Amino acid sequence: MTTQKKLLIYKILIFVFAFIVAFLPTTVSRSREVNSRVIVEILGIDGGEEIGVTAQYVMPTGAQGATSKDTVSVKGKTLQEAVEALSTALGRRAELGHCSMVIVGENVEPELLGTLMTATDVTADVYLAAAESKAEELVGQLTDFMKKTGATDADFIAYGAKKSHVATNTLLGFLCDIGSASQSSFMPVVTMIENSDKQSAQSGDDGGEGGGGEGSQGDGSGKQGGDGGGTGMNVEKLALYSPDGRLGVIDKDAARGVAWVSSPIEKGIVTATVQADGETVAEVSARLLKKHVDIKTYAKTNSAKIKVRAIIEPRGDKFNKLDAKNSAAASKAIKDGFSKAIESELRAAKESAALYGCDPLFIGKTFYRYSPDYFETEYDAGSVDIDFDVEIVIK
Amino acid sequence: MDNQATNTDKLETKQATGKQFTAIIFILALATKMFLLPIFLIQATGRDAYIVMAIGGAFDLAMLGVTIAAVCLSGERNLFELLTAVFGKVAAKTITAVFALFMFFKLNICVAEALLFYADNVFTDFSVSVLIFVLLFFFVAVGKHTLRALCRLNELIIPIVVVCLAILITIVLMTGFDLANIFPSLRDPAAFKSGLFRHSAWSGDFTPLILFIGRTKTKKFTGLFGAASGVSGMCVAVFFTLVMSAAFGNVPVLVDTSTNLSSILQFSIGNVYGRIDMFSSVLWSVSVFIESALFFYATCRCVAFVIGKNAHVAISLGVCVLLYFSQVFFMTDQTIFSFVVTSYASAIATPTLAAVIPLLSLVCVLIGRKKHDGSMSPAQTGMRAEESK
Repeated sequence: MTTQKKLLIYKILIFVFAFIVAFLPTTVSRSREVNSRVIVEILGIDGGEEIGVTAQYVMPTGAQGATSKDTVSVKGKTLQEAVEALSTALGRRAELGHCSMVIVGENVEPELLGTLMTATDVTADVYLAAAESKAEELVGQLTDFMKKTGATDADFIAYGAKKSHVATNTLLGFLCDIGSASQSSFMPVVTMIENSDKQSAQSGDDGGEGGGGEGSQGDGSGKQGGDGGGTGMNVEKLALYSPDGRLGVIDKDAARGVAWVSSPIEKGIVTATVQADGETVAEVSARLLKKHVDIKTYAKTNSAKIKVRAIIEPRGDKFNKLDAKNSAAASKAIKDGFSKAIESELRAAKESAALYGCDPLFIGKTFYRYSPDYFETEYDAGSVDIDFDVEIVIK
Repeated sequence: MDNQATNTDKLETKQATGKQFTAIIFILALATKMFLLPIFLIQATGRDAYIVMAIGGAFDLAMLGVTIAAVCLSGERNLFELLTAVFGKVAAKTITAVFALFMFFKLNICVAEALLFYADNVFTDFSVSVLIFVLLFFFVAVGKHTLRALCRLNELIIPIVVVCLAILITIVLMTGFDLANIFPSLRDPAAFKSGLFRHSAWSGDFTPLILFIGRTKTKKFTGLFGAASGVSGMCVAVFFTLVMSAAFGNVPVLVDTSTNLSSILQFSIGNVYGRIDMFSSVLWSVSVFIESALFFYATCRCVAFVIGKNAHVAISLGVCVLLYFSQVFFMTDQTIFSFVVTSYASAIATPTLAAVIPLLSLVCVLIGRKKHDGSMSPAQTGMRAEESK
């Protein structure tokens, strides 16, 4: 047989193989599969005697570009049963692989989140958010808000992680933290703000800086209110967890302190009061460009030192006023002011967490990494002396 | 008949090039070591998985060194010719039969891993007993063709693998992954020893390279490049195991066969870049298929030598039938797979053979060279020395 004939036979065989693959049973039924699924964007989980699962889903429709967004709530004795009931309730297969956020109710134990990751299609990278009480209520409110504003993307926590000072956590990150020697973790608390709340928030009680080019994103509060609805999302507080469940919720300053150390924040506004030449300039703002955190533990002295190096870019009229002097003294004053502000947030995080017996700064984990024998025999989380060293670099 | 017994592939007059040999070494270094092995090691040893991988890798690299030496010193005679010359026909066939069993065992591990991965992740609604046919078609094609054809296929694929690796490593390094989570080390020595011993069935990934003895056009630096390729491939495998150990060191109970490097990337970078994990899937699939194909090819050629016939299509079909039954009825059952692979028998036999095969090959090559040199006249020896210059 000549080489050309052989090549021809091979080409025919490849074509036949491709044809068979194209018409394999699963391939043939693919279009039916797509039509028989609903895409779950946000999943809410509530604990208690029965496991409650609420899904914000998108139902693909025949019309070009049209989808219907809605929620459904089901219950089951176990999480797997509840997820199965979700598909039954929707009459289609609930596709959890595209879920971008899981909202965790007050009574959910971390173990349930482990089951969520290993026994369902929810991916390890999904962001977690805590509801103040019931996840079911929050998912419903979020869905109404998204329908009202026409928002199609449920990744607002991911946005917060990238663009503002919000301490975020993914499912695997949360479980890793809980499984660490610190046995502590956190997730941001999401609440809805109504018109009146929004106005009071804008009146300055959060000290937000809206002039940073991120709309009303100042200070990580994540307000994204629509014009018509007058509602938005508030992501300021932080829920602390131990392996047994939620320990409590810490306020905004403490949450920011946790974000400095334990969250991969990249941007966000930092606000400080600066004292220069005997003059006090309040609410000088700067944008965080980069941060570096180094935690050192000393078993001999039972102490730890958290060093934060923040590269910031001050901006706004109040900074310009200081900068106009263009002196080394002004520069030092600005650095001192921001250093104090950040240290204050770090101390707030330490003190608030201590009240709940939680370690979101992961001092225990660091002790275990580098002094495991000491950690296992002598370590006492309550007696560790934690020192903070904040270095500011002005860009 | 004698000729057929020693030369298992009449068509294979052309040899693999040094570049192809180097490329194959790179794929063998990381294929199954980046697949499910890190997961099994994390389940067994927690955050010390990367140390087990490094020790296993060092053992394999030592055996790679021996194999490369055998390939570089072998001259024109292939392994089967050398075995026959050194041990005689009957002993050579007996030894080769043992080699064939080893290659078939390793083939089963590779295929079982690939099927488990695809059954759990990609084709969840698809029966493994049907899915395996895609692989079997590929294997028959590989068995029918020459070593050079497999090397060429690998040459085409390796740029994809290297690009995927570069992207994955860049992402991991640039996103500030918390690698310090691998500390503290060796807190549970008993689990570590057990993990090291019970996963030694994954050693011997370089053993199919014995087929390159006498079939590779070696140059001055072929051995050096081959060794560098093996070391770099192994470093990549250990690095990714280290990343996975850091990610799951606190929670080894959360890893299973559906966990892969993409989970780690998503953990590292957050839900930002969408399905960048597809890169890693491409990488794994391709490299494991090539490694499986090489073990299949080695099994078939060993069988051909033992039975003394070059009926490659028939032998390939026969091995495929055996592979189908072993996979569908035994190895794809995770309990049986785990029992077979981590049993004491395989934990002892596999590393033993993984060491014996290359060492025996090198001994044969050296004895063969000595006999050959001894049988040559002083004039011929002088000519050969001139040629080698």
